[in-house]
Amino acid sequence: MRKKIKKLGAVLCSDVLLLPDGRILVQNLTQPMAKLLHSLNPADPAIAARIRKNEKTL
Amino acid sequence: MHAKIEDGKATKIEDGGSRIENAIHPLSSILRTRRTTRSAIARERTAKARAMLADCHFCAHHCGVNRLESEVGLCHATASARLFLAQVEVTDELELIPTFAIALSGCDLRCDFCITGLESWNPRIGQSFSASKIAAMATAALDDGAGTIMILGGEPTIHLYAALELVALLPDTARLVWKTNAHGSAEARELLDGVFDVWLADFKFGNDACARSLAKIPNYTEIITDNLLWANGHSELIVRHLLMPGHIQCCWEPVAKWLAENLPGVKVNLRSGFWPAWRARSHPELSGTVAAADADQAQKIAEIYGLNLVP
Repeated sequence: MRKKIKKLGAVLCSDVLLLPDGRILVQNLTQPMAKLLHSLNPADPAIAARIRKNEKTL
Repeated sequence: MHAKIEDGKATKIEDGGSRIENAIHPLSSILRTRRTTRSAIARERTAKARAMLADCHFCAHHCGVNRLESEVGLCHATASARLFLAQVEVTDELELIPTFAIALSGCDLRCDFCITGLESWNPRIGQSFSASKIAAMATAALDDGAGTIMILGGEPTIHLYAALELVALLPDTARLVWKTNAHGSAEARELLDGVFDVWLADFKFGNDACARSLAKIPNYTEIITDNLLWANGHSELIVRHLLMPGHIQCCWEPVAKWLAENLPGVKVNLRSGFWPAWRARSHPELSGTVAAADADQAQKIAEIYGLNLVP
C-alpha cells in the first residue's frame, strides 16, 4: 500500500501481518490502526498501552 | 549592581554616577546561548555535511565517493534525499510515542530480512525531500500532541545533510529521536553531537559472522559497539534488538551480555515481532516468525543479565 501513496501526509499507512495462529504483527502502527486492533482484542496490553497515549493525536 | 533586560535589549544602569559596564554581560550570555541553539548548530553543520558529499564518509563503509558528481557508494544514495513515509505513529517505545516518523529512503546495510527492504535498498524510491515541507508537517504534528519527532530510514545517516537541514527548521524545544542502525562513522557522529535528544540504535547481530551472512556487513560488532558507547555518552540512548528466529544464542545472548557488561542500566527494547520480509526466506531459519518459546527464552536471557527492558 505504501508504494502507491502519491502525497505524503494525505494517507496514513500501516503494514499488518495476520498469522495462522491468530497473532497480528504490525509495522508503522498508526493511532487509527491501533484503535482498530484494540477493538478486536481489548485485552492485548501492548495495543492498549499505545492507544492510551494522547488520544488527541492521529 | 544590576542590569535590566527588556525586549531582548540590555540597559546599562547608572549607579551613583559611574557607568556599570558589565551590566551588558547578561545580554551577551543570552546571545551566546541563542547562537548555540540546536537549530543554529544544525544550520551550521548542514553546510559542512553537504560539503562532505564530495568525499562521502557518513557511514562506516567509508566509500569516499563524490556524491555531488553522481558517484554512488554501497548505499547507492546520491546528493538528493528522498523519503517514503512521514506520519504520526505509535509503534515505537512507549516513552517516545506518539512520534512523527520521517523515513528517508536508502540504507548502508543490506539486511535480507529488512521490513522496508524495497525502500531501504533503493534510495531513489519515494518522494523528494523538502525540509521546509516536512518541518511544517512535523511542527503541526507536535501541535496536535506528538511527543517526539523521529528521523529514520532506511538509514538517515547516509542523508545527514538533509536531516540537519530539517532539524534547523524544527522548534528547539522539540524532542528529537535519531533512529539508526549505529553503523555511522566518527565523522557523522561529530556532526550529530548535541543535535538529537535520543539515539534509538539497533544492535542487530551478536557476532560478525551473522552480520556478514545476513546483512553483508564486515566488522559489525566493533563498529556498532563503538558507536553505542559514544551515543550513550552524548545523548539518551535506547538500544533495540529484533529477535530473529534461530538467532537467540548466537545474536541475542552476546548482545545482552555486552550490554550488561558495557552499558549497564541502558534502556533496551527487545522486539519479538520479526516477520520474514524482503529476502528473509533466502535464509531457511528466517522463514517464519519468532516462536513463543524462543521469545520466552530471550526474556529469560534478559533477566539473567539484568537488562533494563523498556516496552
